[in-house]
Order: sequence, then structure tokens, then C-alpha cells
Amino acid sequence: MAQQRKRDPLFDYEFARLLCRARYYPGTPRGVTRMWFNMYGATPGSVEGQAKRPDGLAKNPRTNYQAMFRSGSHQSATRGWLKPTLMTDSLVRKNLFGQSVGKGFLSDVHCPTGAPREAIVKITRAEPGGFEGKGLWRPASLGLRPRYENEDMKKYLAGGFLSGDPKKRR
Amino acid sequence: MARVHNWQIGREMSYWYPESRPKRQFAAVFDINKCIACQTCTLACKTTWTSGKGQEYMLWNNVESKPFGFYPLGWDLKLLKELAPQHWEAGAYQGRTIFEAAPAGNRVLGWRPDDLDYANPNVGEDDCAGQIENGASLQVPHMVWFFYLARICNHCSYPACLASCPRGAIYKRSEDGIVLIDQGRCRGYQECVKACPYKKTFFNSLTGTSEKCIACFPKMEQGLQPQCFLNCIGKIRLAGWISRPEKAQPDNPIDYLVHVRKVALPLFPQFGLEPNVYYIPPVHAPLTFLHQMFGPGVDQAIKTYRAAASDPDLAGLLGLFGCTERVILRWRRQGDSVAGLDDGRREIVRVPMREPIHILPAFDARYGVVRTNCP
Repeated sequence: MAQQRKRDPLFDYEFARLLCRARYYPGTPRGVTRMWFNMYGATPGSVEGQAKRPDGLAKNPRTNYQAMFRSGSHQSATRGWLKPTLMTDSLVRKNLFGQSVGKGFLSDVHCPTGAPREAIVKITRAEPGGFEGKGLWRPASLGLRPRYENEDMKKYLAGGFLSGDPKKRR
Repeated sequence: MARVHNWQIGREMSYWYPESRPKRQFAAVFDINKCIACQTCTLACKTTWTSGKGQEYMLWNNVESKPFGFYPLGWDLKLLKELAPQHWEAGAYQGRTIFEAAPAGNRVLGWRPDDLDYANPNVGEDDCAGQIENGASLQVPHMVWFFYLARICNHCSYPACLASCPRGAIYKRSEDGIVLIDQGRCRGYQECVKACPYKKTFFNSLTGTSEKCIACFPKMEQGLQPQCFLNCIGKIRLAGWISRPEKAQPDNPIDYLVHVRKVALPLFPQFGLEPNVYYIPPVHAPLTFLHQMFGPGVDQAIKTYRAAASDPDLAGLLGLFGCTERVILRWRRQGDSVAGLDDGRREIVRVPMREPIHILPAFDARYGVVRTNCP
């Protein structure tokens, strides 16, 4: 079985490896990044659709489930979102509201809640971004993105479109 | 060109039409410090007014992260560049407005966005100016900063869209100052799209006409605040009517915040439109950027706002934001509570200055349980 999976590129690593668009973000220290909008992770079916459809859409041919990613999801990096199944229906836990303690299924305990948490990941460049892998993202090429600021944007950030002594502006 | 008075820039200026003030003027105050960019306002507007064909890209209300957020792309930066650096002197604007800087043959200095400029409606979300370094801790004003700017049509006293329309299809209602586009007269020349510095008119390619925020006038006519105000979960917005500065009434909530306390400021007053949405500026952003965006009153506004905790009238009035769907025409503070009143000075809502705090003991002897602070 293990050998069969290894030969099938849609299994395990191929489908679980997160492939996503990345851009420069100044709001976290270097070496730390963050990810937004993590719903609709890839499934074996969506990866199959992505590989086989002429338009490359990550859509399961049988269920029409459409993933945001060609492969992988936030779940590739952390299992802090979908909880381990050892939290079974026999688990003793506090009720969602109030103080009483109960047992068994409770959505707040057994279902995916909240966002995935931090994880240590290795990021490698898979391919160039943009349409057909060419060019910068338009807002970046226009000089309106962090680290790509053109002279006008730098002036705007510095409040340079008002001249004169700020103290005299009042 | 006529000569009109624009109190926001402290002088007379040129405008295409003579001064004609409505009987009363729709106005609003947005407290930027309370906005979390949840976009509930955006969706409230979207689902109410622009869910039709040809309106897909339109956001009559949007919230963008400044400084890297723009909708459409570069809307304010491009015009600031066209206008070139200008200056204020002792509270009066010495530079040129977009009417005075209009090139020969044009009524307004403007630019028309490219289709692709609307392609990234929330570009720059949460992107800050400056780089967060390891071990960074923030001080006020922040050295690495951004803030959320919620925007609707400003229903300007001197609308550039109205001035620019060759068809005379845009009008400012005399009863409430709301600026509307007559869909029957509009021929889709898009001069308004080019002229509005805030880029709050939108061309509908299906109908061939331009559309814009209508300040939910069917609601305002009934004394109800617009949808984006009602649905704001941060309670950052207050709709009402603004008076001329010389006729300011302290018991009118908008007048009090704009004219009396001067804590709420117009967006890009230097453009010369006398916009009627007023912003309480963010306390944490650099003053140089805020001067550029809200004019010379920023320092005083921030100082006043930061002292609100020991300023019961101001704090009380800020507590009236978002507490009722009704338009609050008058207000008064009585001791530890503040009331919003209607036209007949009847009370329509009352809120406490401070919410009561109840502290329960950790151990509940009645049930023999230790309570945790979990919900």
C-alpha cells in the first residue's frame, strides 16, 4: 500500500504540500510571516481536478468542491486547527456556556474553531508569480506597495504633499 | 467660475456654480480610532444598493488600510501629485484647490482610473509603513503604522462631480444636501468619475450611467441613519446635520464635534470640496501624514480626543455613536448618562457614561463550584 501511494503523485506529499502566492509583508519581523484567508484547503479530489482540467482549476471533478490552493492548505503547516481525533465522543469536557461539565460531542470542542496557530515552516520559491509567471504584481510595479515605493509614494508616506513649516499650518 | 466661501480652507475659492447652500446639510462623523476594518459597513451597503449587474465592482462604502490601501488604486496619491505640494498658513489654505488648478478647458483637476485600478479593492490591507524588527515595541505615535479609513461619498458642499457634469445630471438636494446622479439625464460621459477626488462615483457599464452613494436618502427622510452607520459593529459612525460654523449649535452632535470641539476633521480639505464626512484622526499615526490628509487641525483634534477620558461631555457624546438607528438631532449630558434627542427635544435614547461592572467571587458557595473566566 505504501509503495502504491509513493508512486501516485496525488497522494500524501503532493497533495498536502502547500503551494501559495507569497508577497512581501513588513508587519512581522524578518523570518516571521503570516497568512490570511485559509479556508478551502486542497483535497485529493481538488488536486486531481487541478492536474487534469485544461484550465487548471482546483475543482474536484466529482463533488465540485473548489480549493483556493493548487495543493495543501494552512493545515499543511500546523495541526492546531483541525483537532486531533483523540478528542472523541467519550471526552469529558466543560459545556460551552456555564460551569457544568459534560461528556460527548460539543461543537466548540470537536469542530474546527478559530484560526490555525503558528508553526515552524520552511519556505522555498516554487515558481515566479503573476500571469504566466511574468512581471511584478501591478500595484508593486506601479510603486504602490511596501518595499516597491516609487518617489511619489515615499513623498506621500512622509506627508510631503504639504509644504512649509508644520508649526505654521495650525 | 463663481467665487464661493469654503470655511474648511478659511477663504473664498473658485467654483463652477455660485454658492447655494441646502436648507440643511447631511453630515457624518467617523471615529477612525474605533474602526477595525471588519467591512460590515461595506457589506451592508453592498447588499442594500449594489448587488445588481454592472455594479459588481462598486463599493459605495469601502474601508481601506492607509497608507497602502487604495480603492481605486492610488486615488489620493495621484491627485496629490497632480496638485503638487501646497501649503497652509495659520489655518488658511494658501495653495490651489482642484477647481483652481483645473487645466484650461477643464472645470476640475482630476484623473480617470483605469479598469485595473479597481481590481484590488482591499490592496494594502494591514500593510504598515516601515518594517517591524525583531524585539520591536511600539510607542505613540507608532513608528510603524497604519490605520483604517472608512469612506463613503462626502456629499460635498462643492461637489466636483456636480461641477464637472456636462449634462447637469448631478444635483445636490436642497432639502438635505445629499448629492445624487439623475439616472435619466446621465449619459455616461464619466466626467464625474474623473472629477471626484475621492473616486466615489462609479460607472455602470451595463446601464451606461454612473452611480454613487445616496446616503440612504429613503432612510434619512424618515429620520433613520444609513445602512453603513446602523451596521457598524465598532459604533464608529454618527449621521446628522451640520450647520455653518457661525451658526454652530453645541447641542447638535455633529456641530459639537466639528465646530465646537474641532475634534472631527474633513478628508483632504485642500481639494476644496468642503466634504461633509468628518474624521476623528487616529492618535497613533504620524502627524505629517495626518496633516496631509486632514489639514492643520490634526494636532488639536488628537489632543482633545486623547483627553476625552477626563472630558465628560466629549466622552458622553462619543458614547452615543451607534446606539440607535434614529438620527440624533440634539444631545445632552445629565450626570453620568447622555441622551440623544429628536426634533422636538424628546429623548430617543439614553446611554450610561460607563457600563456597570459586576465582579463575581471565584468560588460560588451555592453550587460549590469554582468559576473560571471562560465564557
